[in-house]
Amino acid sequence: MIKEINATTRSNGLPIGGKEGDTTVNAVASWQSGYPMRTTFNRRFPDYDPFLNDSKRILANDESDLLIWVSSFNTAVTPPQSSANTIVLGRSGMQFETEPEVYIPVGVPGIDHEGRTFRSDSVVSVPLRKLRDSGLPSVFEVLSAVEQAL
Amino acid sequence: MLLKLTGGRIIDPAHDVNDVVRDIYIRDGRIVEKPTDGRVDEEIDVSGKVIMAGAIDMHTHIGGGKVNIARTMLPEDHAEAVYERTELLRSGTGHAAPSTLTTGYRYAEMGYTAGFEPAVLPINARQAHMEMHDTPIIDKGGYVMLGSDDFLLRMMAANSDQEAINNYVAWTINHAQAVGLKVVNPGGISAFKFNQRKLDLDEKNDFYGVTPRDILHRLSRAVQEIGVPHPLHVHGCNLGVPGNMQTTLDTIQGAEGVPMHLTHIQFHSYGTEGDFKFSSGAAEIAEAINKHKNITVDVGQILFGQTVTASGDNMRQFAGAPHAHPNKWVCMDIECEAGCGVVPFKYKDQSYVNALQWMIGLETFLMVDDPWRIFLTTDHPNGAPFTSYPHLIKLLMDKSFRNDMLSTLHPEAQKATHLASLDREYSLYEIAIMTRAGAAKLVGLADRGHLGIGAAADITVYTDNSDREKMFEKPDYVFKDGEMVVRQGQVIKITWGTTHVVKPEYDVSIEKPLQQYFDKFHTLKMSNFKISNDEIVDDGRGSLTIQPLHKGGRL
Repeated sequence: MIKEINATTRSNGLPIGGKEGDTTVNAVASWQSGYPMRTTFNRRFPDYDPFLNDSKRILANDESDLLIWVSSFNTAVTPPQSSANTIVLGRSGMQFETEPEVYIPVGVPGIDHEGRTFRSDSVVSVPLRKLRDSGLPSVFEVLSAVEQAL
Repeated sequence: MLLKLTGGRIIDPAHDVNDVVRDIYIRDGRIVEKPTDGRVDEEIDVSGKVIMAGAIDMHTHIGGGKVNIARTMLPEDHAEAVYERTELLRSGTGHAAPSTLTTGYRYAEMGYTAGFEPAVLPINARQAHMEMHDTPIIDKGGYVMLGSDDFLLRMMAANSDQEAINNYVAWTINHAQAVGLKVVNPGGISAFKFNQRKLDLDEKNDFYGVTPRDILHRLSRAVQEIGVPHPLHVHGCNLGVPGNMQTTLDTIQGAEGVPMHLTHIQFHSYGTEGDFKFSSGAAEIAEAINKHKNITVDVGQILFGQTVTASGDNMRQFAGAPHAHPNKWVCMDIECEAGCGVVPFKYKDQSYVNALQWMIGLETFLMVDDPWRIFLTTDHPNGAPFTSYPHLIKLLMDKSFRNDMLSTLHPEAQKATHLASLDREYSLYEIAIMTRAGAAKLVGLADRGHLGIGAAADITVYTDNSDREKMFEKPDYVFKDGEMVVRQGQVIKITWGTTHVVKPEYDVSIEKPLQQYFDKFHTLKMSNFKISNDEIVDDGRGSLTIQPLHKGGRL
């Protein structure tokens, strides 16, 4: 509709969506792989399929035996119930209904360490600054340490 | 560690060296003098090979919002170009709009060691830098876009003095971490917001009463006066419109001797003659370029096949949207500060218009006399993906190949061009000027694009081959800052290039009105708009190289 109105006058829509870092993940996934979320790397290359790679569907169908849950903004965003072994990189202070196999508490970007985030308009990104010295590692530091150890 | 490249045929136009056999010594990422004791740690025999500095793409859309929109829009383009991860390389996708990692690998494999993003919207500059930060091996940098932003247009409507505008330009270049200034459809992106559908050089923006000519005048002067080496980078009015050659000629005339770079000139060189009311203006445009020594251009050659057009010029992109192939497109008025339009497009050799566009680009290459003032681009991905450069080089260097191609195109278009009668064939030396020495000089890179003592050791080694496409698509070796990153056309080492910027001085008094402006109209704080040096360095992988200003630079 907006496109059609623009044939004679000007009209705009402002698409807004995404929270807890969704928008940022989507943007970074798009520039690094060419595809947004719901992309698998099983076949050694990016493979985009929004239906097959829906993680809720995968967990509900027991198609995966490992869930790695990254949630560094919000303690209330916890992993869904599933039969998969679960590793959580979660904001410090997270409470679980079912204890995951592994929980690594991490700091919050913009509070415990620096970072950058896209706003929900997916256009403008803002710097996140470190406001306190909590000693909590960032997700990047945890993943880098795991990679080093391997 | 001292590395010696022995016996290569050096082509280094910055030092007037044309095919001279000479050894090159590399230490700590730089080209150095022959050691007095003659001791070297490693020697590579490159005798008979052609040696040039690493190539520099001075206009390529590799980072920022519109590129990422193009990626997201074209899953079918990615599906045809999928790259598996290896022990060394990360996976990726993309032909017209490749992922960042793939972009860096492909450029390096072709002997390119730097690429410059020409449309960094100030409000989106952080994203452009983040994408370039994730582009391996090559150096990068951006030209920040002004000209349809309300702060400038308000200043101009209020008839602010030139010094205030210089201050604003310098402030923006500093805090967007840019190496140059770009203007796209000057004032036209703003005019489109007020529902103007075209804006000619002397036409007024309905709201601000400012003309594109005024904007070009103010911004080109600003760039010159604050000492930024890269001249104002101009994507002119009326892109793609038949008859726009007159606007382009007027723009060249109107520059009044001030340095100006007219980008993707092919898209601005159209006449209205003939049955199709679409003709080549290349001869007149080339003549004007030859005459006006303050003007530089890059071509924006089109090549046939599927690609995607991504531009800040949403006024013209909206007009072009009905031609989208496949039929989908996006136009945005980003934060009301700039624009963005992404329209996929397929150039067809049996289309009269597309065939003539191909001819106009090549005519321009062949009729502009001075290779120091014309640059090899496809306006990636707008005219064609950058991976087609070796093919384009062959078209320029091999007349019979060019004419064979020409003879297969739309027959009416063939009748509308003198291309077949143009005998010029570019030499290796001229290619080295366009893609190395000239490009470095134009962007303002003091230590790149040449092979002199002290230069960064960005070096490409080719096997001479009369099939120039084969020669340029697969160099024997590519060195980036002295490290061998490519061997036999394959990436063998991952490095991370630097980000080139300039830091013109400004008077902080400009922050007073800017602060008010941000507080009143923006959805972002001024302090968050500014990109710090630390953000470019990030986790230590990135780095900032501040290029020198021209002498005489002032506020």
